[in-house]
Amino acid sequence: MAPKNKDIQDELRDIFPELATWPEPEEPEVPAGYFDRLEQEVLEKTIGRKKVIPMVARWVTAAAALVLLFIGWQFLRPQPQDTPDFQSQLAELDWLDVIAMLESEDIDLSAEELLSAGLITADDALESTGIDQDIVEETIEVESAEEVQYLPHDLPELDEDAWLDLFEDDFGL
Amino acid sequence: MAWTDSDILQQFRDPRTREKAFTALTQQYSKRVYWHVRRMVEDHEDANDITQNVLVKVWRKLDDFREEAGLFTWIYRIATNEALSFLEQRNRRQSVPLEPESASAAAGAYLDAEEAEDRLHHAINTLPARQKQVFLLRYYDEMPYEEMSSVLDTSVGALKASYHHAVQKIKEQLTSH
Repeated sequence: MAPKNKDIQDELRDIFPELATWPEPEEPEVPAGYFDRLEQEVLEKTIGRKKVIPMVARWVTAAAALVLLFIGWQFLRPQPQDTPDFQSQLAELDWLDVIAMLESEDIDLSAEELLSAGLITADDALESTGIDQDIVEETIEVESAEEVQYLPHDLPELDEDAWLDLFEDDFGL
Repeated sequence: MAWTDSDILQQFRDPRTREKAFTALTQQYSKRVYWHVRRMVEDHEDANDITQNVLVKVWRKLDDFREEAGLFTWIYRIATNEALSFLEQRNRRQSVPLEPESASAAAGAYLDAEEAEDRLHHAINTLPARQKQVFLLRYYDEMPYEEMSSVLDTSVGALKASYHHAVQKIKEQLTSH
């Protein structure tokens, strides 16, 4: 690599003219990214920390991280169910289908168990018995009235003989 | 944004901006130091080690820098001394001195650029250390004698004489058979 400075070229020509126009060599090779690593290593050996990242770059990095977090959250968060929940699906089933399924699977459940599991409604249960609806309702009204009449907090404090008299009067026992 | 030497020195002396200033110095001068050293020692790994040593010394000694020369001239001096010390040690370790390559072609003939550079390097390597240093600073770095005088702590007249002798020896190497 011959000098480009005219004074230096002139000086060289006086001594060895050919060297003033010596063929220009290629730059010696250095490993890729070497100068960045050199700076990094020198700064670690001296000021003892990584290369200073400009504040603007820090903000850009932080903003990019937030955007990535937001996008990730959008993908990973629990998605709302498009299908109705289990209870809604059950409600849509016809109780006759439920009964048919239980029979086909040889599952023996009473109407009470089906009611408590929410598989059928009280009306469905009644319908399955074949009992007239008016009779059922009348019975329920009577029993409800008796329950109200004999609620424990309304009962007087009676001894055993008084209880027996009361049952004889009211129920003919 | 390039820092001036004055900015670097001023901020280096303030403990709050010391690290920032040295980071700027490293970014600004590490490449130049490397190439200066690389031309002297040729091998990349050796040049890397020396460059790192130079910059660590700069970090340690920058408080003592009295600005009698320019900042890079001062860094150059440290780099030159480090490289020369390395070359002296390496020459002592070598039991057989480097043989100059016999140049079969006269200088100025139609040479392949790579071959020409190889021959020139061999010729430079036969020079005494001080002449080699003067030649490298003048031929590759195009450094004025006044600045070189500050780097090498030698008079301008002595440097001109060294350079003249160096070029003559290279000429002999390249033109002899």
